Order: sequence, then C-alpha cells, then structure tokens
Amino acid sequence: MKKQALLALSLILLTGCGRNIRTAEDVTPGNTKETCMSWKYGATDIRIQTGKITKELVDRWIAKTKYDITHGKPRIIITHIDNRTDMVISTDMIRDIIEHAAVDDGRVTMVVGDAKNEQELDTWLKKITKDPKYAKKSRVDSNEVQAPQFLAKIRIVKAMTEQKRYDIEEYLMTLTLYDLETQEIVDSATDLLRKKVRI
Amino acid sequence: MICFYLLLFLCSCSHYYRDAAVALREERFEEAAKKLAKADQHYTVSNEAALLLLSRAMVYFQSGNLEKSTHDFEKALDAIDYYKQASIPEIAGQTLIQDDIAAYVPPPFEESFARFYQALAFLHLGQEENAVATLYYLENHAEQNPLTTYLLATLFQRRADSNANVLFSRLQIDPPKGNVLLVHHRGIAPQKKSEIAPVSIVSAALVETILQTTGLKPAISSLAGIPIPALQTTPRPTSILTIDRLSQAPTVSFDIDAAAEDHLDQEMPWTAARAAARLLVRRGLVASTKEKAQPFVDFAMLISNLVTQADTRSWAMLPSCIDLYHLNLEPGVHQVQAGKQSVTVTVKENDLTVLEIFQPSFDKLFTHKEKI
Repeated sequence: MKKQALLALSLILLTGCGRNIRTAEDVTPGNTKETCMSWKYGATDIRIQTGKITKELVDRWIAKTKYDITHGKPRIIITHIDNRTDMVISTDMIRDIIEHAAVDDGRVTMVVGDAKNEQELDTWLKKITKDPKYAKKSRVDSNEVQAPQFLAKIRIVKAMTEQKRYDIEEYLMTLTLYDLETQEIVDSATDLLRKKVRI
Repeated sequence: MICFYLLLFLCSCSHYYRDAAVALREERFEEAAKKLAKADQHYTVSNEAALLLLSRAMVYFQSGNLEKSTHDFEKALDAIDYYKQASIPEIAGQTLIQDDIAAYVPPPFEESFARFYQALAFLHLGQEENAVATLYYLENHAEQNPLTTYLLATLFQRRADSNANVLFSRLQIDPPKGNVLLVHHRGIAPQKKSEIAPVSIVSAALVETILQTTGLKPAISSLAGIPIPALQTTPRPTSILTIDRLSQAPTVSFDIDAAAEDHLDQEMPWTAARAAARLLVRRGLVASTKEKAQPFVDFAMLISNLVTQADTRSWAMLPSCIDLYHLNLEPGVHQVQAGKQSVTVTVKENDLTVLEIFQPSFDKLFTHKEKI
C-alpha cells in the first residue's frame, strides 16, 4: 500500500508542472487549416493582415486605373497606425512589418511616418514639391509617367465573444488611402483575423 | 535524511525581492536591479518569474529606465498568464510540504497595478496608444481598479471617445479638465509574515485527546500548529500635498493596504484547509509507522511542522497608497511639497504631462531618476 502511494506521488511529481504557454487557433472564416498561433495579437498577425490588405488594395487600384508599374511604384505614406485593441503593439515592429509587406508585394512602396496630426500631412505636402520622382498627384494621368503617392491610415480594432472554455477574438485591420492633395478617401480595405483563445 | 533535505530546502527560501525593495526605497537602483538579475531567464524556468519581473520592472520604472520597464512588465504579464494555470503537482507539493513551493501568482490587485505602471511608463515614452491598450485589457478581462479606470477614461477623453463618459460615471466623477496627471506613490505596501494560528494548537490538542481515547499514542508534532500569513503595515506618509503652496485634493486614490487585507481574507479558508491537510498527512505518517519508530518519526514531523512557513511572497515594491491628482498647471517649474519634504517638477508645454513622485517614507521624496 505504502509502495503504491509512493509510486503515485513520484509519478505526479515527475509529470512536470503541467502548464503550457497559452496559444490560439486561427479560425478566420475561409481558412481551411486551423493553425496554432500566439494568443496575443503580434508580429505574425500584423504580417498576415498587412500582406492581404496591401494585395487587395493594389490589385483593385491597378485594375481601376490600368496603371503600369514599370513607370514607377506607387508610394503609400502611412501617417498613423491607430491601435484600438487591448494588446500592446510595438510601433517600431509595425513599421518594419508594413514596409516589408510592401517589399514582398513588389508593386508598391510603403513609408510609415511618425506623426499623428495634421502637421505631418502638411510636411508631406511640402515635400512633394522637392521630390521630382513623386512630384505628382495621386490620380494618374496616362500621358504622364510619374508614380503616384497616397496618404494612408491603418486602424486595428478588436471584438471579443466570451464562450465557456474559449474566447473568440476578432481583429479587424483597415487600411484607408487618402488623396495627398485633397485628403479625400481614395479606397479602403479590411481584413478580419479570428482567433479562438483558450481561457 | 529526508528530514535533513526538507529542512535544507525550507531554509533555503531567499528573500531577494525584499532586499531589492529595501535597496529601491533607498534609491540604490543598480543594486536592486542586480538582486533581480534572475529575471533575465525565460519565465517558464523560475516559478517566481512573475515576482522577479514585476520587481525589476518597478526598479526600472522608478529609476527612469522606462523602455526596460515596459518590457519587463510585458514579460511579467505573460508569466502571470502562464502561472495562473492550475498545476496538480504544485497543489500536491503545497499540501505535503509548504505553500510557497507553488509558483507565485499575484493577486488581482497586483496584476492591475502591473498594467497601471506599464501604462504610466508608456505615457512617459509618448506611446499613448499602448498605454490605452494595456489598460483596456483590464476592462475586458481582469479586475479593474479606480486608478486604471480613471487613467483609461482620461486617455479616452483625449481621443474624444464617448466611452470616457461611461468610465467617469462609473467612478462617479465629472469629466475633469487639466493638463497634468500627478501620481503620488506613498509609503510601503504591507509585508507578509508567517505566524502560527493559536486556534490551531488548541484544535490539535483536542484532536490528540480524542485520538488517545481510541488507543492511539499522542503525537507532539501536531502541537506545532498551523502557519498562516499575516500582514505587517508600516506608517504611511502624509496625504497632504501642496503645489506651489496650494493644498490639493486627490482625484482618485487606491489603498493598497486595504486591498492586500481583503485578498488575504479571501484566501484564508484555502490556506487554512491546505495547512490542516498537511498536518493531517504528517500525523497519519506518525500513526502508520511501527510503534518502536513512532517517537523518531514524531520528532522528525515536529521539526518539519516547526520549519514550515506560510507563503509570505508579495510584490514588496508597491506603495501603501497611490493618490492621483488631475491638475491644471502652467508650463514651467513647480514646487511640490508632501509633509516636510519637497521636490521640483517641470510641466512641459504638452497637452498632457504625467508626473510621478515617490514617497516611501516620511523623510524621502523623489521623482524619476536618471537611467541606470
């Protein structure tokens, strides 16, 4: 009896602490495979969403304007990344990821600015006069062969549904393009990422 | 032999975090950070990772090393999330050996303060959105406290977010106007000590008397009693704060002493139940051994019971009370006086300046220090 008790105790102690680092499943609608990912919203999620949005926006813009990128890659200047989630996101990390997403796409250049206010927009407006390659309005005139540029804002919002054992967390990333001169909205794209997070 | 190892194990429990807290209060930041160097390990390695990281994050916060502070707070929150998972071997260990064999899981009020301090560090770094994010998480998940709610409401108000009014009404405060948030960290959070519950000795004596009537030999080991944690408070510095000789009233306050007391009361039934089970197991071991060996086992168990301590771990670097002032001050230098001590603070021409003053004791008052 004593031996059995000791054996049971040893087994319990040898099984380790029995804890796991929390993970989440990617249950985004349309995803065929449920991949395991970090429960926090982080670098991988931003990379996935930015890549998808950039592709969608550029596809649509090129289809609409029939722009030939051999004339120069359009440039998107992101002036503000609006994090409306409850997850801390490193701003420097976002910048790097977004700039790399554009490199991966290959049809567009992205620049992420620091400022969050109109002063930044004014600075960019002044800059276009000193930048011969991009000294061009956003709307493409087929007779001219210079690359257009846009202002853009990224907003990430989060919605959460609590369930018995899991939370369903949805992260919606929106990229809105603005005309550099008029600051009117040119186009917008969104991407939804749905995570099933164990409580 | 087993008893010797048990004794060695129980006596080896260090109080590095308390030593670091003393060094921090005396503004010996480098020394405090060095005592907590184990925080560099991955949080799954040490079961006191949350305590190590919270403590070091606070050292960095008060020394003005805010980047490192936010990083440590983030890792501490990950560690808390990890160690919140129940572990059967640890519960077994707590029942058989002693309570602090388990991983340190901070009480909810400490977790909310980890986010409060992280948010303040983000604000000093100009990362307002991350400050909002870390506070907003509390609104969605864990226990909120008035300070985190107020700070979040203020930041929402700056974004012209209508949720600010919801949060202010929850606190029963009218939406304030002001360009300065001054946080006054007063005193030292209560420290836990292990003490024997006198009732447990009486109960054990009664149990032994009852057992004697059934023919069982009485055991002296049971009379060692049950160790339980108790709080030790220290006098708190004055709450009267004057700025440029004008007395100010705090907008929101949080009494950490009271929160620690409430938490201890909530946990006490579980702590007592585990301790009683531990005593029962050890008594059972004495009873189950052969009669000749019983006195030796009883003596060994007496030693074990005497050296068993309650879990006295806590985030010792927290103050006893935090007062938050939302003020309207002209840009420039201002004199802040608390009791007999005074310090100068500079209000920048920003639309929101966050100032911190730390007053661990009556004779010490300081603001953020240079980076270490």
